[in-house]
Formats: sequence, C-alpha cells, structure tokens
Amino acid sequence: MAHYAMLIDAARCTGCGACRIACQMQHQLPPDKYFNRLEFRESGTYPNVKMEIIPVQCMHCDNAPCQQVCPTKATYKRSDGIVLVDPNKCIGCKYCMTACPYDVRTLNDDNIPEKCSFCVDYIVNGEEPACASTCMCGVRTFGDVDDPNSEISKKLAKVSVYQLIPEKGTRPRIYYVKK
Amino acid sequence: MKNTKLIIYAILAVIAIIGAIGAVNIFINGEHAMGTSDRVPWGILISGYVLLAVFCSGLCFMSSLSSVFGLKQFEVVTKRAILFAVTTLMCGFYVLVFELGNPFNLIYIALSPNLHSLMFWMGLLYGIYTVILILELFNILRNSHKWAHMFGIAAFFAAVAANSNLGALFGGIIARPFWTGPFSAIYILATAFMSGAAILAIMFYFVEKQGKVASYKGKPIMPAIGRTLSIAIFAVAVMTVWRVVSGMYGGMPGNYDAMMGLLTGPLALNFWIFEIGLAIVLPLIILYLPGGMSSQRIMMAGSSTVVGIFMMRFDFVVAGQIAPLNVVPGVTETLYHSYNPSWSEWSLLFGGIALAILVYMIAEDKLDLDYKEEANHEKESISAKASVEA
Repeated sequence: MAHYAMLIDAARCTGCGACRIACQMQHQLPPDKYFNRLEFRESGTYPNVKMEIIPVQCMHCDNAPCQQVCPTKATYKRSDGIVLVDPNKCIGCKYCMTACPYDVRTLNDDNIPEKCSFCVDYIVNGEEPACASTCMCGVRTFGDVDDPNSEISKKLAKVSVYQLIPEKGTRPRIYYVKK
Repeated sequence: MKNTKLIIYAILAVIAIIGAIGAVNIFINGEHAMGTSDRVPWGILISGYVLLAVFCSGLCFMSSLSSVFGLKQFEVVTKRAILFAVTTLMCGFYVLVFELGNPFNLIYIALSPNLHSLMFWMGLLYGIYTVILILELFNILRNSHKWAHMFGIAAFFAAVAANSNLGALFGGIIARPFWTGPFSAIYILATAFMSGAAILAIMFYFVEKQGKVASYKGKPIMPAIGRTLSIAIFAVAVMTVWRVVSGMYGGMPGNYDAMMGLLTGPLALNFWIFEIGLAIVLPLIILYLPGGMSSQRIMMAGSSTVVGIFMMRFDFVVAGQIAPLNVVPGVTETLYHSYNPSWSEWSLLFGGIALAILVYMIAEDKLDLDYKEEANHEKESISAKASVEA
C-alpha cells in the first residue's frame, strides 16, 4: 500500500504563487479561496536582512486533529495517508476549522470546510498534485514514501528535514528540507 | 398590568420575528450572511448557544439543590427553573441549527458517529439531557412528585455531563492554547451555577412582586438565591484571576496572545466592563453593601451578572480564535484576526433569547407554577413512612 507524503524545499521557492493558482484552477476555486498559501518570514537587521518563503497547506497528519473532532466522520484518513472530506456527511459545524493547528481549511459556498486533497483524483492516474507539477523550481516533491525507489524516498534519504509545529503531536506528512 | 404584559409580549414577539428573518437569511446565504471567516469560524451564534445551554444547565443545578443536595427551600424554584431550562435549551438548539452549515446532515451523527469527537458526545449527552429534562417537567406539571424527584436527580447528573462536555469540546482543541486543557470544562460548570442563580434572582423578584409563592415554610427564597449567587460569583472570580495569571505567565504562544487580546486588545472593553465589571464586581458590591440583601438588590445583582455573562461567553469563544496560530515560527501574519457579528447573527441570537422568554411568560400565565407546601409535605410523609416500614 502506498503511503503518500510531500517534501518541500522552501529555499527554492521564488514566491511566484503559481502553486496557488494551479490549485485554484484544478479545483475551480474562486480567487479568494485557496488550499495552499505562502508564508513570508523576514529575519536579520538592516542591511543584513533576508526573506524566506514557506509554502503551507494541509499536512495530511497521521494524527489529524480535524479527523478526531469531526462528529460524523466526514473528515477521514485513507489507508494511503490522504485526509479527505466527505461533503455528504459534513454538518458544517466548523469544528475541524478551529481544530486544525495549520489553519488550512476554507469554507466553500456549500458550507463545507474544504482543504488540499493532494489532488487525489489525479494521483491515482500517476499524475502529481497541481502545486507540485506546476512549480518551475521543483519546490515540492510528492510521492510514495513506502516505495524506496520513489523520488521522494531517495531525497528524504539524502536531506535533513523538519516539520511544522511538531509539538502538537499531529505527525504531519509534509516534510521541509532543513537548510 | 394586563396592558404592560401585552406590550412585553408584543416586543418579545417582534424581536423573535426579526430573529427568524435573520435565521432565514443565514439559511439562504450561509457564511456570506455571517461575520465569521476562515480564520474566526465560530462567532456569536456559537457563544449564544453556549450562553443558552449553560443557562439551562445552571437552572437545572439550582433546582437540583433540593433534590440532590437536600437544600429543601429550593423546592420553591423547581417548577419555574425547569420550565425555563427547557425553553432556553430549545432556543439554544434553534440558534445552533442555523449556525450549522448543513443541518440536514445531522442524521449522520447517528448513522456515522465518531466516538473520538467531543461534538458527537455533546449531541448524545444533550439529547439524553433534553429527554430527562422534559420528563422531569412533565412529571412536575402533573404533580407526580416521586417521578419528578427521580428525574430531577437524573437531570442533575445529565446536566453535569453535558455541560462539562461542552466545555471539554473547547478544551480538546490542541490548536488553540487559550481553550486547551481541563480548565474549560470546569470553568463552564462554575459559570453555569452563576448563570442559574442570576436568572433565578431576576425571575423570583417578579414572582415575589406579583404576590405568588416565593417562600418555603414562610421563609422567603430570595436571600438564599442571593447568597448562592454571591458564592458562584466568588468562585468564578477566583477562576478568572488564575486564568489571567496563567495566561500571562511564561508568555505561552497562543494563550498569551489571546489573553492579551482580552486584557488590552480588541476584547478589552468586553472583558473589563462586562466580564469583570458587570458579571463579577458590581453584583458583589450590590449584594454586600450595608443594609442586607433585599429582593431588589438581588434582582439588580442578577441582572448585572446576566448582562456580564452574555459578553463572557462571547469573549470565551472569540478570544480563542483571534490570536493567529503562528504556523511558521517567526511569521507574524497579523496581530489579531477580526470578527464583527452581522445583523443576521445578532438578530438570530436576540430572537432566540426573546423566544425563550416569551414561551416562558406564556407558560407562566397558563400554568400553575407555584410551590405547593401541602403536596410536598405529603410527599415527605410518604417517604418517611416508607423508610420506617423498611
């Protein structure tokens, strides 16, 4: 069984926003709704300053708070690690939105708190999520971490990684390359 | 007198109708008709539901003081407390249903329950509690004392379970340190006692004023309500002090930001004027001024507390969300997220409150809610005889 994850090399990001637009196109989202975002971190003191860009999206956590709090199991985790939302079961209580430590849920016009699905309908055909395939700098590497020959497994074996807010115990499936 | 009552009925009915219009607007336009956002997903309707549900639990606790804790003089309040508890709970559900984005999918709480979810338990526990409360009311109104007493005890435990679970629903959210932990559950329980006593202080002032039964064996109930209110306020005051101190201590990310949002930030006015001033300080001053606890003073203290509690609920729900989550260390997205309730939210909430009061007032008019000393003495002698025989 595949176990999907994503490796993000934030140092390569130019902040062009193509990942966000590709995602919006893929999922037919209005301009003010998005499943991924870029966080800009400034550091240093003038004139020695720098800016880092960190892409953030649903972490598809192994211990997903949104899945645990959902009263109807509308949010569920597949055996391949992808966390999805079943709109037919969602009561629109927005508990998942308050419970997500990464602030990645967005409410659609049908009152469903949507989020990144790792483009689940496309990856079954061997395609990559839109955010990964569109990136000109190859910031995102998506794949099966259970397959030792996958690109992500090879990269993960070579680089040192970190995760966002690991102290919450969510065990996210998105890894960031340490500089 | 009759004209005054009709005017009050009319005002409450108009507020309830405006509330219904707000409800329809929210039902048709969803989130667009509300002030909530992706960053602050829970607004005044959630705090309104908490307000009404906790009023209900508080009233149930007050009526249980006689059936569970043996404070016999509180038998006087049972009928009215349970009746108003039922109406506030129903109106709380009314407000909550319109806050939900897809209320028709509520059936999946039964068909596809997630036992890990505290919201599932909230649904289950409040469902059980509602049934018990209605059965208690039914038996109270048909003067079936034995069953009413039994359901009264059951309602107390159901209220403790449902109410503390409601607090735990917030406490279980690890993403929001302002809520996280067991404090939320205990805090909601303590404020429930305060809410119940405050409501009874207002209710029994008018009962007494109308010349109805507001005494137990010739002893007025108002001073007992006043003392209970002061104890509850004192308990909440102590909890508030330690919540503030622990929020500021160590500067814990999330908790500290939310606490500063309350103390000096966008919620400061609500916190100091309503939560501290009207809910805690003013009622204690009114109650303990020289001259003793007169009914009028107790009513004024209760009214001040109720207004303060309204904002206390708002602060509790909103403060947990306005502080940014700081997903990426070192990135300050904004100082505080903003939330301004829309007219539809305000009207639905006030409509729900007005509806609860209106239904109660009509029931007060139509039903005999006065405490019957002979009937209860009969009950006491029956139970005493039964224990002697045993």
